[in-house]
Amino acid sequence: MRRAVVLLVVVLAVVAGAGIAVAGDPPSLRAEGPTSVSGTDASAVFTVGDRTVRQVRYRHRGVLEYTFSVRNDGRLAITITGLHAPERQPRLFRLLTVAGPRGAAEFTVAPGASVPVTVRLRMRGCESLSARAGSFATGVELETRRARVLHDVVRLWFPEELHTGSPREAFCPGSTATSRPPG
Amino acid sequence: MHGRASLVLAAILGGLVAVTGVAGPASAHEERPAAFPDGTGHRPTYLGLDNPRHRVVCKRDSDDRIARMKAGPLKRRNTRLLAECHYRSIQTAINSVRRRNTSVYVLPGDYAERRWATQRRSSYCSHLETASDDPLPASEYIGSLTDPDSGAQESDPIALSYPDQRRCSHNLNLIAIIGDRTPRNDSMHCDSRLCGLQLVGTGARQRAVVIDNRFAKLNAIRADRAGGVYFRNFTVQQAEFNALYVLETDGFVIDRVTTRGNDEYGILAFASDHGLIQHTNDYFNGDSGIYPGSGSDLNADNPDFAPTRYAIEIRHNRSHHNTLGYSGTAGNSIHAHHNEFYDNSTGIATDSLFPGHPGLPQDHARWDHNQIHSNNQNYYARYVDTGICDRPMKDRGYLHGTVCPVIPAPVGTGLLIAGGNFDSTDHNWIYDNWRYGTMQFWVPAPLRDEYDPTKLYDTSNHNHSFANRMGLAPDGRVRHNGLDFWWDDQGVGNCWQDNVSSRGEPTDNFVIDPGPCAGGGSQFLPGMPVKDAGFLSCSQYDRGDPTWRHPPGCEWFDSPSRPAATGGTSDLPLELSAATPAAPATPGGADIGAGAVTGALGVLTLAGVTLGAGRLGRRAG
Repeated sequence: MRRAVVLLVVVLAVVAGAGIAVAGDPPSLRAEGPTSVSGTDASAVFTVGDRTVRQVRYRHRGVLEYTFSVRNDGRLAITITGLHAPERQPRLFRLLTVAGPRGAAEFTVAPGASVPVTVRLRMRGCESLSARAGSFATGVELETRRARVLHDVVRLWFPEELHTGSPREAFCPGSTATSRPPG
Repeated sequence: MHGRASLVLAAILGGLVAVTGVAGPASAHEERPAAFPDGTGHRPTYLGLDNPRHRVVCKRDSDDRIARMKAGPLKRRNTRLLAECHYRSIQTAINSVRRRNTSVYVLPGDYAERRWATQRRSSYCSHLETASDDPLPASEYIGSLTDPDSGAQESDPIALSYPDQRRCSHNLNLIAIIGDRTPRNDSMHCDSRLCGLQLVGTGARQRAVVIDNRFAKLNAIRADRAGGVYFRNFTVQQAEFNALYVLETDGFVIDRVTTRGNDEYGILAFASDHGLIQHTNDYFNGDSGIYPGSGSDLNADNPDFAPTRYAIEIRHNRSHHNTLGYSGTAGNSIHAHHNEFYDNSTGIATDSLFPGHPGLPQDHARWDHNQIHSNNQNYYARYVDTGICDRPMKDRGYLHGTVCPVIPAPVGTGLLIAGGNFDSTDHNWIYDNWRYGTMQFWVPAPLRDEYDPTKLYDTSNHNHSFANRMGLAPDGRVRHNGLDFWWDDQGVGNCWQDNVSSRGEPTDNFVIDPGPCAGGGSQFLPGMPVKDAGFLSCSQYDRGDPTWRHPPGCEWFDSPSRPAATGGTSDLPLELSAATPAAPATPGGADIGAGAVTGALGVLTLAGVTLGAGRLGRRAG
């Protein structure tokens, strides 16, 4: 009996330790290709240095849907419950939503698995942009849940840097006085 | 021309690029969509101060000013002209012209053109957004000076159709010379009484006649489809966009004109041909002193390095204390020689970065026998970071040296080719530019809204740089550049040959020797990484937004330190210099004679760039 109790304690200790170890690991999500976009008239990908950039043509107030794969490199299934509001939105984009397979607002990525994810961004702001600036959207912060109780915010870098730019001179039908430098 | 190489590259790198797209909207440089003249015009000649067809403009104090002139023929001529003066306003005199090739003689004085600066608009001109008889397509509508959210009932577009520009010529312009009187036919030729107009200051110096816009209108002077126009011997200043603006004009001369204190450009020539800009003095401009953008694209299909002819010649000018001394998005077929570009943030820049410019990508410019030196002014640190550029435009001190950069420029660079082709940089003195003597890099076509996959690599090809004196002043003084030549190793047919340097051999960052010009220059090397020149990060610069005045990863606005004789070909930061006194708290604190000011400590390493592989002392060819 005594030996059984000791064994049980050891097993519990091992399980607890493993659980703590797993819980202590941050959720590990990685974005990767293939990628695609919709909601813009034109898009192209190029590489400069170690940067891979997807240029999209600005469409004022249009919604860009950027789709890529998200892989779970961790040991627990991760449920993505939504976007975490960023401290600062990109200059010409506003992050709207994230969706999983079949447009699910909440979806789970099993350990070692990948799922297609679509981030929706509204193109906006050219009417208030001065100079010939461009803008990048490089990633999102995701609200996640693991094992029902572990809640985290995970930074996910896009496989490509989304870029749109120079709307002042390109195409900004809604531009106003503030699209010129102030003065 | 560029297509063959691009097709090969696109085929090789098919997996690298995924492109979708259709033809994009075509808009111009914050302007109606512009087109090139047909090139049948010609450069006008100066008709002197005794053109029998003339008008005379003077101010109340012109007689006093003439009385103070040095005795001689010019004073006698001014005295005679004074007796003929019937106009107090330049625009009124222009409006009175009845025959072509008329000279408007402007006697010494300050001209604010108050009548036109404050003229009440017609109802039509106040409601162009909704009431125009000749509206631009909605997709080409650009801007409004009146914020619709303000509740104002008027609309004030920045881009007007040509008919509306003619009909409402003072919506945006203090002085307007609108030459095409038949706007609804297909021709943009000048066909009015204003063709061949000459606007001539009669004083002994350019400052004797000052046309002061005082930021009343977007442009101080606009010459629109005004073939044969000739500007000579005056100063024009304080415009939000351009002091002197030439658009869709075939045949023009800007001669002995000073442009200064403008939020953006001193001289801007756009979609024009048969032009000459000479003996001008251009300073304190937030974009550039001289901008020959979208020059007539005469050599667009020319596969040879030598151009068939140039559209605009720029000679014997001084452009200094601007963000850029010279700039030209789509600055095609431009010949700039025997100029001095100094004490700017960047001396010369041409590019294919910004969409909406006819004639992209840029090609066939030549810069020779220029002095390009001491371009180290950090106006970002001095005036943007200190909040001076947040003040109302009139209060920034533009006439006293304040420069508020509109665009991002690599401080400390002599000449920058951002996506150009068939450009020649030769026989120049390029010295004392603390970052780079010259800088050349590839600009991916999508950045200019060109999504044709065969054109992805259609920039930074066939540029030659030869017989330049790097780090050496004409008088023999040694003034090192930070690095003589910076190149991202991209493009075919580029070469650097027979250049001499203050360090013996020119310094560069080239990973691969591009080879001699006669051997065809650089070759395409699959897998060769593209060095990051920094333009992607820096393109987010927005002077009006405090959070984007220093975009993450952008090092262009760091002041480089004075270079040492050993050069900058190291992957280590250059030795930091002691910072000079802090930026002035009041506008206009620039000491234009003081040379470059390092407002902040800087490092010269660029993200993603390993200069260690570069070699000191290359002489190609």
